[in-house]
Amino acid sequence: MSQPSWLIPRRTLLRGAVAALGLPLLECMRPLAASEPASAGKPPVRTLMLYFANGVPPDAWFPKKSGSQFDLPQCLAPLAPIRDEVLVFKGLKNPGVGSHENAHGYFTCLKSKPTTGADIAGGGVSMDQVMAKAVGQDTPLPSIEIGTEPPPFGDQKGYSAQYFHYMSWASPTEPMAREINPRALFERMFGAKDAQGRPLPSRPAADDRSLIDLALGEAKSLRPKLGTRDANKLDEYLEALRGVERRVEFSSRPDTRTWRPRTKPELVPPPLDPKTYGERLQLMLDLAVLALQTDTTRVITLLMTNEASDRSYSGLVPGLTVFGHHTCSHSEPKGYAAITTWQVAQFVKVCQKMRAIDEGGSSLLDNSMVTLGTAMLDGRSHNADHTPMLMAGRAGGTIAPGRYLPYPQGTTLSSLYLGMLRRMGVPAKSFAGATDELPALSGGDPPQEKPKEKPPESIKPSEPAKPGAKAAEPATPAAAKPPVTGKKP
Amino acid sequence: MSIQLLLVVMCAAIAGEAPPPDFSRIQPILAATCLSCHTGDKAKGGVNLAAFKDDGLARENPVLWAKVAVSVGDGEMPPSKAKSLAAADKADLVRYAKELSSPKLDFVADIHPLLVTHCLPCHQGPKPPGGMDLVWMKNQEDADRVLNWGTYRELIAAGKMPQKSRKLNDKETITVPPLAAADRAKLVAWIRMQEKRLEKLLDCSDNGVRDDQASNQQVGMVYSRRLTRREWANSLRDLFGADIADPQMLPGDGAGAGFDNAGAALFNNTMFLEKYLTANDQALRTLLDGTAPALVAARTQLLSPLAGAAPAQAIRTILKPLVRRAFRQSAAAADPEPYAKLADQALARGDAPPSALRLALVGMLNSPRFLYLVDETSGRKGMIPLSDHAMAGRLAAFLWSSLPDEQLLEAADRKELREPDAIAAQAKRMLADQRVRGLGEGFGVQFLGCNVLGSLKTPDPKIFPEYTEDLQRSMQAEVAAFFAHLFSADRPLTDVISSDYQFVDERLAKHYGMAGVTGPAMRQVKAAPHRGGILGMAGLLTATSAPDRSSVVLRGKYVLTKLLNVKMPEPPNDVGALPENDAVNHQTLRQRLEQHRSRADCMSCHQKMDPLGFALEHFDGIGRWRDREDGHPIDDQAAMPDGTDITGIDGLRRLLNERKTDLIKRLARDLTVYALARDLTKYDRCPVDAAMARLPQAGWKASVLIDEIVRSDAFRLRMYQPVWDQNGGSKIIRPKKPPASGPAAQPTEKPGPAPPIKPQPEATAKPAAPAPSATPAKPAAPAPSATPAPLATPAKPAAPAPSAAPEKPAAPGAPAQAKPSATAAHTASPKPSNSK
Repeated sequence: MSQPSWLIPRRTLLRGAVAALGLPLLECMRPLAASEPASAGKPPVRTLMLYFANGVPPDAWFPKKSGSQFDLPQCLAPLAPIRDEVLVFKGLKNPGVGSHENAHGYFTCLKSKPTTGADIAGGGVSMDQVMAKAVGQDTPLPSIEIGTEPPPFGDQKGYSAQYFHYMSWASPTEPMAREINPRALFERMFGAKDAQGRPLPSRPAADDRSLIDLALGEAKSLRPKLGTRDANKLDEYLEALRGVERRVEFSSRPDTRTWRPRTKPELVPPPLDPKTYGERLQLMLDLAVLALQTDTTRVITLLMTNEASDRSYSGLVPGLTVFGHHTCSHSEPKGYAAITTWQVAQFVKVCQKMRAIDEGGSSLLDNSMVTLGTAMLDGRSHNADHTPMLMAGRAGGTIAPGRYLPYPQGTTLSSLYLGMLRRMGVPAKSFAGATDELPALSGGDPPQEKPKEKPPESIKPSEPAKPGAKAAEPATPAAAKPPVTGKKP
Repeated sequence: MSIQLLLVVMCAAIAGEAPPPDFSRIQPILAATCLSCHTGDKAKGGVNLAAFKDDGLARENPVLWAKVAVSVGDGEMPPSKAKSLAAADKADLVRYAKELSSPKLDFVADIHPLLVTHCLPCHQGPKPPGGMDLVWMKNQEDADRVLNWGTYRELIAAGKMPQKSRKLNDKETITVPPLAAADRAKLVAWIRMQEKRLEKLLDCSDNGVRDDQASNQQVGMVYSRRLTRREWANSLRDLFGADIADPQMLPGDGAGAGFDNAGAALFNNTMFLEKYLTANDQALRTLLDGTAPALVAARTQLLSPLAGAAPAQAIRTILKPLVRRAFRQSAAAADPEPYAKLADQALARGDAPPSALRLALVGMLNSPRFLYLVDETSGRKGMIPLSDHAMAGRLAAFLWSSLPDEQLLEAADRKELREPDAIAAQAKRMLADQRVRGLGEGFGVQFLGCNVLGSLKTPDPKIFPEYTEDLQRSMQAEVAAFFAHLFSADRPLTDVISSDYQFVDERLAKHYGMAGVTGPAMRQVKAAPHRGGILGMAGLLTATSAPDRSSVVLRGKYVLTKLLNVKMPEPPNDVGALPENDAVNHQTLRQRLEQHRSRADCMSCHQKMDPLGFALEHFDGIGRWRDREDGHPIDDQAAMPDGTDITGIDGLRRLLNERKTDLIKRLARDLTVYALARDLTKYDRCPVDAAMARLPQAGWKASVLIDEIVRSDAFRLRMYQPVWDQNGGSKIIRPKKPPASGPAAQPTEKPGPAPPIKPQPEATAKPAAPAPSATPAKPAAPAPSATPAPLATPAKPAAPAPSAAPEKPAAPGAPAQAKPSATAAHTASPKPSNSK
């Protein structure tokens, strides 16, 4: 990682490349693992959050038996090989979500303002961005946001379609752009490479610095000449530029991380452009694992599709008579369950790959929190009483997986997020109204009664967002690391 | 009407009637006669007289009392069936109502002092609450520039405002004197009258310029925005004379208001910027290293100055015109020096001149002055005309999705582009240019929803193996060519419904079953049967299909909501979608749809949508004509709920022709959204109304619509709210002696985001700024004529080094006389922003 990707030209566009995909990205990593000396230090905790659209059929999702002896209904059947690595949650309420148009509240747990375009605001900072701000400085990329589909158009029920694909919010008014092109994501992570994985020649570092300084100077000279609102638009540019600057600086200063990944992506060839959705998703999932494995980032959100997607699963899910996901959710129960099952299977594949990556006595999965979820409970009726959620991994030994945990009414998804934030080392006192982390994550049974929660306060869209507006507040260090009662490692 | 009424009432008052009765006399009359109907939230006619619990509350609503005076005076109220009113009671009630309907409230004498004491303490500074900065509001005229008084009235009437105190920061808290009941009544009454006054003022025919100082509604007024990826690629093409950039090199731009160029939704963050930066570099490498003849020619042209001069000098020669055009600047303002210095660095270490030039050009293309449409001129707070060069940029973005050409920039240099006639003339010239294809690709393709083809909408390859990426591009190119032609050839907008011509290339001709068209070029041909107009376009028909088959519902919905401009509710949450392709079910699609429609909650919408879709059933899921489906003959019989027969595409065209006003109004509205790059507010009705008034007599010519849009205030003006220290010389004013107030009495300093901005005292806010026209290039240039010059100069120092003083604020706006004026105004629109 010597150069930021934008400074290295892409030699060819590769659009319409015909070569077969067969992308063994992760396999490419293996030979290198052995040659890399083991490093001191404990592996950091990493978070990967997968999102799929359109809710679930609850009958085919939630187990009947709770605790470690939980059963696997149709949609969860793919979990069998990683059953002991997974927590299945039930009853986590997210007040930020509702029907399709509110899916953007999935990671903020805050309500937002309906708008068809102007004044888009997501309600607050999403939990991944809280993580990125706290722990992102240690890695080349603070966080990675991945999608598989371009932004949709139009609006629904007074909400811009932007709300259907922006779930990661750096501030209430700044959604994070998602990368939907695997090759571009690869270059963002590792720089441009030739077909053999060798880095392409890059510009002298002094030029990078000069270019950034020039652009910063121009933006600063321009800003006071603009009106207030226009200046706000320019501030986005300035912030973005500082992100680029940070990236350049990161690669030029010494790496202070005590723990080093055992693998480096030195000879991994860039992925070819996928031809189908299935290939694209597969590449994106592999790249996400690769990013965590190489400690390129520790925080990833990945939208398997945009919300309300009617993507056709013909060719991916066998036996469908109706192909579109959204159409199925409303009119073809069998197909709806089959597509949902397929999505769980993708999650399982990711977890298995992460489990196979050794980080010196523990696996990447042991050191991570991998979630799979969707905003709505039941896509058939757009019911969002609570949100279905799976989580794999042990967060470095602070989570005891292998259980089904049904929670009583009133338990919030934000309390799970708070638990995840603290496990990432974020000293958060609260997140979106939750002040206590979800009970029983580290062991024990969920409470039977309704816990008391403060209602989250939405950030008023009329008030301009402060650049550093935080959904999470700092807490005493004692609260940061929860005790462990889990089994291994 | 109400104004006239007020005048009558006031005249009567002057004529010297007996003094009006006291509230204690009136309340029993109301209680006995009126309150049985006029009480509570569901009071008759929305007139809740029970709210008048005392004289003060009664006095808060002069508008309502004006109504009472008339309706009771005319004997309309109380209704004869309900109650009767004694003559003496009636006379007193009418006198009282008349008195209260015309409170003599003068802004300067009565209202301004209240604002200063009770509102100003909080409503000032860099971030006033609700965006309402009252420092500048000093007279009635200023007050007329605020449009959302209603919000404040509600808060004041409810006692929620003024607040007792406001925390400025950790140390400072402002204490606000409480508002006495009588003063509150005064303020509320005045606001109600002000709201009425504005209703009258806000009219397209009015010549005053309106603007909205309150931030909630300024949102639509943002002018600056990032370039879309289409605009970026076209700009590079026009700058360097070769296709060196592909929009696909950048991430998609999302959407607000239905179009990719909606400024509010064009976000930027690190990933976007990284992509712009990479793509700029890559495009320049294509230009400088490419071997295609077009690239070689463009490169030779670009590098020609290197042949006869020292490299450092030649690079400056090359950069100068490029900077001017890329930044949409005047020839005088364009300064290549910062970029040339980058090239100097590279030359000094031994880089070849072309490589040094590339570095300079990367720097130029990464500048916010290129990547953003900005206007660097300042002026008085409020609506101000775009500067000439910003107008050039706006016109080029609208009509070409690109940069201005030299002619347009020269017109801007001559300061012509604040004149509606000159702007319209430029627009006319630009429409004849082939770059108008950008309008077809931007507006046309998105109006038809074809931009989703290949990404969100991709026909199933198993069912439609004929559908390829190339065919998709041809479909989109047809739409772009059609709309470009519509505007460049000044065709009637009704060509959208049907035209005797169409555009095809070889691939599309084959798709349509047409013979004799060869080659990849799009060309105009005589329309094939059932084609011509947008309804027969494969792009539209594919975009409104399901991935595996045509969709009656999606097509019907498009025609109904977009072409007939009917607003439809979303389907209820618990309603299932129709299993249109349920192969197991032996019912025909029509039978199934009819079953669907038999549900009452579905019927209300589907009985309107479905027939419109059935009329297009002869087109399959990728827009091919078919006579049979799955062995069954196609049944495209259809009738609207009122019985109007709309069988087949011809029937549908007949219907659209009858309702072409609706269709063209929607087209006009959407084109206005696209031109302004933002959602319309209720004050943006004028260009649409003006065009709709002219179009029928003008044979629906497309140029009329463009003409009205580019002449409109909405297009020519922008909302300018100065960054705090340039607020037209205004300064922070705290009340002189706020009761029990602590440190709040001093001006506060709140640095904004970088660079820190310091409040500037009034005395120094009028420096010896250069006179408005004193640019170095044209010292003797006259001030722009007709309209009073509202703008200060861009305050560009003479070359070199415009960025040498980044901390220096722009010259403050010209004082007093610098009030914008214009020839038309915004007004309330019956169809605000979202009518989809």
